Amino acid sequence: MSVLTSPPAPRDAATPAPRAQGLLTRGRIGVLLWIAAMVVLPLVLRSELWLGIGILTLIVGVGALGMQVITGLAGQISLGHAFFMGIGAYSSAWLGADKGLPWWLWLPAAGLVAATAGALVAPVAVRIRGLYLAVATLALVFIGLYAWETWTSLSGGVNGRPAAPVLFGDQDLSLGIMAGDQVILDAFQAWWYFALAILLVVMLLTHNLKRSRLGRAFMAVRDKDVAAAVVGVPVTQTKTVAFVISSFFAGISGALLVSYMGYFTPSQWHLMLSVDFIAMIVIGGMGTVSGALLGALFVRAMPEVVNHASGFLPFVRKGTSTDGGITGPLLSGFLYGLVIVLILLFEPNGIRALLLRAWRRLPAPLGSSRERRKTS
Amino acid sequence: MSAALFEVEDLTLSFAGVRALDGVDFTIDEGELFAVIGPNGAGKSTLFNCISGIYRPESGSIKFGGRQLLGSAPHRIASAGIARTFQNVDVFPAMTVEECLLLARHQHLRSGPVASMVRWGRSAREERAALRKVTEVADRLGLGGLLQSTVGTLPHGIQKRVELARSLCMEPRLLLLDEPVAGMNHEETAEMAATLSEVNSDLGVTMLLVEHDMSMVMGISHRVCVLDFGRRIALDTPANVVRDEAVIDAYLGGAL
Repeated sequence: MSVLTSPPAPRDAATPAPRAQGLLTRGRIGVLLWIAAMVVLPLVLRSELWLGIGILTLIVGVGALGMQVITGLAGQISLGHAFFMGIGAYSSAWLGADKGLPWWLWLPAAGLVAATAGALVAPVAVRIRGLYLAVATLALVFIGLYAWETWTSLSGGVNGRPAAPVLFGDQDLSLGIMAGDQVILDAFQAWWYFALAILLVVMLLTHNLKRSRLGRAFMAVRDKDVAAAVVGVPVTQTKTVAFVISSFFAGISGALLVSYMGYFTPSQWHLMLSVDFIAMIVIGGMGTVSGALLGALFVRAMPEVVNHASGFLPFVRKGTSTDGGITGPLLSGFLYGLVIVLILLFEPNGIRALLLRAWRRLPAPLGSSRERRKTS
Repeated sequence: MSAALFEVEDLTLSFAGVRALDGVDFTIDEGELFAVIGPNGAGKSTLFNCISGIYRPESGSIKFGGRQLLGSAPHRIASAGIARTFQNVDVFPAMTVEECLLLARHQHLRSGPVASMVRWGRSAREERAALRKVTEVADRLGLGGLLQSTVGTLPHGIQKRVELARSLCMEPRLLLLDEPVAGMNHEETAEMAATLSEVNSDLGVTMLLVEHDMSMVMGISHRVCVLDFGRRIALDTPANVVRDEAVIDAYLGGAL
């Protein structure tokens, strides 16, 4: 009986400290502060440029969480995210703009159609891995591009087409919310809160998923698929489910994105979009909710920050240039690449891990407001 | 004795002309602690990989509770009630001990994708019940204080224990243990042997054990099967096996 009743294994220097608390995933206070900041921000932030970037970040955050499910959690490197977003976008436009369905129908439907596409692709995708999977899903993007450009009755061809509006009663979100003659929320604020609400739901779903039976199965398949099978995880079925959930989020994100922009063209669903999503989770931090959001913020906001700063930097032109000088967009491309390389070299766990480290070094009362804000 | 829980008949598998298993057969009774020993390359680990569905033997049969296991996928064999540990610990280093043990409850949980994401009602209750079970197993194996530790940072002996706990969380009817004390010091070996005996007698888990450590095998197993070059050369109680001429020639030599 000695072993069964003896105290737990010796706790000496070899016993590691408990895992650090996550910024958004574990720390309840952190999440509440973040939500509060997100609610207040559009009321105090008066720049339409930054509000627009904020809204795009919130929308793209939904897609980044989808990427986090398939790549961050289940470890399957998919380049097909742009394809599934495109499917969501076109389904929503067809249902919402052509058929006139309300947003609470076209939005979930866009996710479901994309998820169905994911389920159709999965039987092939779950049987290949690593680079081969990346190339196979890359093919999806090009098949998609061809389909959107050819199917002109749906996509409007290269000229594009209008997207589905978000209507509450007879109020269009893109015109702001009015009560009589009184403007309650302007267009930016209205879209901000709408996108934030959807993102919060998807964040909660992803957070729950991560610590559920399926989330553990995803991580097991990612880390060691043989051992996963031996503990009773059906590997191919688990990968299929990861594909379906990821595509669902991608579809929702695509539908929201075009609805916010109002008008969209086939060329948007290009490979670069998929690459952006991979960059988001790598830069932000793999396998975590907050990592996806930080990455989305970085990838969306960095080009604007650089473009803004280029006015103050010597030798850098604002906007485009034809004489071969360094321009804002060019510089931001360089920085983007540089940051990815630096992160891969020095902090493979992403910005999230950097912030966590900085957070722990700060004296507690000082850090709270400043650091939390950065996680938005 | 009651009917055999587990039957291996005429199992044969070659790798590039080398007979790793050559017509191996034995049966294990419910509640037994059965050991397979043999020199390096005798086919012990190959046997395990055949049972858990990782290798497919060329001929023979493996029956569990009367059901044929050959040709089933590893996760189906697992859900039939066979759990295993690996020779070189095969844990998930990035997970916490708790996650690792909860993972082993996979087949006992029912939540699908939607229930997993919504975590309400039944799926939340299910998770809580799984957590209770996991805590109970962890306490039993002396891992209670380590549930929040990341597995990869734990010392080797503890990781072996985590792996054992993980397979117990599956609530198996048959537990395959591939060298459970490999790389352990004397003290750890003794503790592990005691744990295994207790799990076998208290929980009634039937065990199939592959091990190099002779004193440990002889001390705790009910019957021992000796393999040499893929063939079974003896099958008897530990006391008789150590006196067997063929076994002494092939394997034990000066070891005892």
